[in-house]
Amino acid sequence: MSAATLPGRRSATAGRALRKWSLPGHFVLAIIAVLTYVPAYFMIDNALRSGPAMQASPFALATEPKWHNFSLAWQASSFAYPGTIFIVVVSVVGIAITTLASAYAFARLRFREKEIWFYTVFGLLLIPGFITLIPLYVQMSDMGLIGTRWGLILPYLAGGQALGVVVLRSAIEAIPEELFEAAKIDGAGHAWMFFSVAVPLSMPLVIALALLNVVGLWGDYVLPSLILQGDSSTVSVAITSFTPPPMTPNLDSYNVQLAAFSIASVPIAVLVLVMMKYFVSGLSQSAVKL
Amino acid sequence: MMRRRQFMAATMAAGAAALAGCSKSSSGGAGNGPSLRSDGNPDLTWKGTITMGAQAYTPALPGVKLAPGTAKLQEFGKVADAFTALYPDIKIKFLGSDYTYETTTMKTQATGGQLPDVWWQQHSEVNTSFPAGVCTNLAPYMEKPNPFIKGNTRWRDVLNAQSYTQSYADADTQYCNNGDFVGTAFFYNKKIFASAGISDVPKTWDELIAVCQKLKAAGTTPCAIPAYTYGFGWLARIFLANFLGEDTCKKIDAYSKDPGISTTDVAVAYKKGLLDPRQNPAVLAWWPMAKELFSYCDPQINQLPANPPVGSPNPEAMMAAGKVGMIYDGTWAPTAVAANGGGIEIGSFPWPSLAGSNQYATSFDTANAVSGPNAAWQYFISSPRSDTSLRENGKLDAVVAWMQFFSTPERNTAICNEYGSFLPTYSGAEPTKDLKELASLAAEPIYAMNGGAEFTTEANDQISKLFQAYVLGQVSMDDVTTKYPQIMDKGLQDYLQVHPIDFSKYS
Amino acid sequence: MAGSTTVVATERRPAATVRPQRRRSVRRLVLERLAAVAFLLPTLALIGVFSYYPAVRAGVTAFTRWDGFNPPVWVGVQNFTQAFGDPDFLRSAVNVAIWTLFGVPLAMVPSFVVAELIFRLRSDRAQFVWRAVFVAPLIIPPVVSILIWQFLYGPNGPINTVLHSVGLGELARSWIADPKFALWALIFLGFPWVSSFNVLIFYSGLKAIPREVIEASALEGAGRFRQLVHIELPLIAGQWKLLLVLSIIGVTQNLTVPLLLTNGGPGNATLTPVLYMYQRAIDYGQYGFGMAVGTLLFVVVLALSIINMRVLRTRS
Repeated sequence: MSAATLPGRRSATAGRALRKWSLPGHFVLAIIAVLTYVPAYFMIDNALRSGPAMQASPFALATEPKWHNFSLAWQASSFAYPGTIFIVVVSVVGIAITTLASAYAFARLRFREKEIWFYTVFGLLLIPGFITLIPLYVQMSDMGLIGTRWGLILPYLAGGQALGVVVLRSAIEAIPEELFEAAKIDGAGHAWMFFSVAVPLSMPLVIALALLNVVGLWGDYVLPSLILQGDSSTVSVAITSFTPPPMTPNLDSYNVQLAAFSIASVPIAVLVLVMMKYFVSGLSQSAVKL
Repeated sequence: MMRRRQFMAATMAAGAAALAGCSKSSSGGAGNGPSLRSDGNPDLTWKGTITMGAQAYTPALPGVKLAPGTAKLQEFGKVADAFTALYPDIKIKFLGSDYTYETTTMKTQATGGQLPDVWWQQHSEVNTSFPAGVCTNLAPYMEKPNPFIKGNTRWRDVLNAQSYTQSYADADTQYCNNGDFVGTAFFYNKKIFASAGISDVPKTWDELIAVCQKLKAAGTTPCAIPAYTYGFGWLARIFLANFLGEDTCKKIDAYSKDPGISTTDVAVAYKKGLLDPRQNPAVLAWWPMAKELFSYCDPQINQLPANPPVGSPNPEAMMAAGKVGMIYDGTWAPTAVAANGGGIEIGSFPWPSLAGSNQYATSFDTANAVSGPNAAWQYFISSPRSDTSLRENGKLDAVVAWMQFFSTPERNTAICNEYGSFLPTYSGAEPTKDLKELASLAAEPIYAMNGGAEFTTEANDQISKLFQAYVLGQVSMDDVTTKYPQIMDKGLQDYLQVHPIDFSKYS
Repeated sequence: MAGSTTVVATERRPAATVRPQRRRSVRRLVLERLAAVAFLLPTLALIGVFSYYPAVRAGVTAFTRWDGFNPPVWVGVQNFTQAFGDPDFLRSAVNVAIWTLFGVPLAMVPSFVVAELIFRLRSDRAQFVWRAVFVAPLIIPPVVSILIWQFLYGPNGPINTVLHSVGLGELARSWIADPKFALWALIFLGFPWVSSFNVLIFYSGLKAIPREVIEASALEGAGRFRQLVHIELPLIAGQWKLLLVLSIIGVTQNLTVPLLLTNGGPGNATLTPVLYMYQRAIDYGQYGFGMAVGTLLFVVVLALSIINMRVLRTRS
């Protein structure tokens, strides 16, 4: 084998080998991206308009931006941010830790009926959320957790297990055996192998999943609306309260809501941008599959 | 303590009764109430905070969140202060607009025992789609005096008799404290009418269609009415009562001894064939007329389904944007359009006369049939099962007392008129001058019936969908003739399971 | 694997620490079981209490008549027989089958195309930027998208306007109110159908293909297209499988689109089993019946997923 095929060595042939092309690729991606961003444009544009204006022509550019919508939105929803941030951070970190541990167990430990236990976890993905809503709510009520943040965090922790365990199990399975062997030689037990091998190498996927969870939990509405109300509402519940009660139509309320959604997407956007760097490296070692 | 055990026993008995399919409500303490103090007011021993979802009348108190841009009201807050002045250990906490009043959420909360103490809801929703046992039956209390009204011997006497009948579950079960009234009318854009050459508002059905044609020729969308939400629900009331005629309506009203048409009356009428299209072709004869009207209505609004996403097109916004000639809507609409500041000048006219428009049409004026006690003053008290805090010793008495306290004619007038969209209906109440001409609506007899859609949520949903499908041209009249009785038959059957009726009593 | 040790392990272990094979492997197995318990306990406890307990309670009500508030009444399998005898339910099953058949490829292929395009870019920086660009839309609430498409599909919406302007006016119609087209309109909602999560998954799979494999194929003179079909696609089969299962689950459980846009209409043209379940349980207060339908749906999708995972086993 020639030097050109050794891993890590760049050469002229390697560059050409992948036959990368740039300009047409960029062009097509740009078109797709523009189409994908239409909802974002709609949201921000109409956040600056009034109800009837949106009614008259939904996609027209806001010619007299109503910045006031944003200040109204902030006034009415800013109280909810600290609590929601706490809930989301605790839930996401908790999900990451617990699913990593279980994924490691499914990937690398041997025990009876492993497949059945795996399907027990996986099967949860198949249950539509609203079926369990009422029994779960009654349970939270019986446990006295209504109105508390843990009444939301605990179901979130449980709900995040299925996807996390499934995805991370294959991530850990894909870690080359030699790395674990090297740890075993040094007399490592499972705890050490977990922390020093599995965790770092699956970090990019952990972060990808964490991002997905953050977005999902941040925007969740149904359960928070039942568990936390009034002053302890989450951001999405607070925003939905901008809709006035029936028979009291307020024609601009939806636009103020869009302004509030726009504000609420800022922390997420920042998080996404910051986190993007972290799963650049090491992706090749943590490919996910079934 | 004795009282608590009584409550629990009553609750368990109610549970057993519910199992047996009984329709009677469950509650603790059936109207006995606390003893009176020397000043004539009830002696309340409970201490704490009463939660109330007052919906449109919610006052702008500190700590009460309101939807951005809604009016800041004071009256209910003043009433609450007056109550706390009498009973310093009891506070009233109003829920802000972050309380959704969505029926699904409320029913779920009921199951978890988490409903607020006093709340608004549409009486038709509570009576049909809420399970039995969610509310406290107020009928026993309403038969007794309201201690906060001087000289009152029976609370029910100050309540509008028709509103009472229309909002009760059955003759012995009243969950709703109903105190206001909403009107409906056509609201039109004066400028658009003028430029289309329309000088007079239509007074007959044919004139209405002619107006629509003129507007269409002038290039505007003539009208906007949501075919699912208001189509069958509103139009059936106008047409059915008119096509049956005044005498038949009075006959139907007379089935149950209470004034006004209740669901019991409708059930008997359906059973006797008066509302059954297989025996009375008048029942469906108006559908083609409605279809013609909807052909002049905005197609996107026609197509809206049951739960359109927030921000969907709606008639009020279309009106405010100047994109429609007229809308048929409730009396809350002009305020919304005007608040928008677009400078749209709005006029109104009632539903036109149907006389001569159809072989079954009569000259009976049924324009007010869509109006009714379906507005903002519809307050319910939870039961100890749907709101576990009501199990506290003496709390239910306190909550009832609070309700009796705000349910006086003076307070009813003050609260309703401050908001100004709806008419107060307690005896002696005077509406605001803007609504003066509608005042008589509440006093006149209303023969409002939906022909059976009031039996169950399923019946209402299915028939509304069928109507919308017909109006949009997706099903034919033959389909309707087959499906309509099927839906209503099932609705009646399900209704009788919860509210059995002895039909032999009605001749 | 019980009772045996791998050849590799014994080869590397220094002689001084060799122990009798049988005792070590038994002890190791016990330790592994204990470790498994420790690692799995949080997950299993959480899902046991907050996921399975309510789900089982919900499942039991499938055999009852329950209004969601008062005590349930046992009715045996009546709910199930009622479901199978209900033409609305059967129609919803047909609808979801069609939706899955077309919606699943839509959920996967465009995302793959984007991932592939990004993968093929020359500069790493460009790849990073484009990845960020396609991940960012995650933050937009899905309801906004639904509202936009309601407008686009409207009788006077842009789609019809465009059709009129290019002379195809007869094709213009009310897309979500026409019984023949409503389901298709919902299936094809969301153009260009690119999902941020799927793009990331595909991209990670592509990145994981060992460089040597691609270089070897290049040396053998493989063109771009052959590389794509013969090398890349098979080697990311695992990603396809995962996303296939997740997409099937996503499509069959999608509630907001049919609920908000058409509520199952016109007629039952866009009724899906999940929506049917929602209407019966939440709107009509027939929770027992709704749970029965839910149980049926769960069983079918579980079976599909297991078949999918067994039949298409990945070879690493």
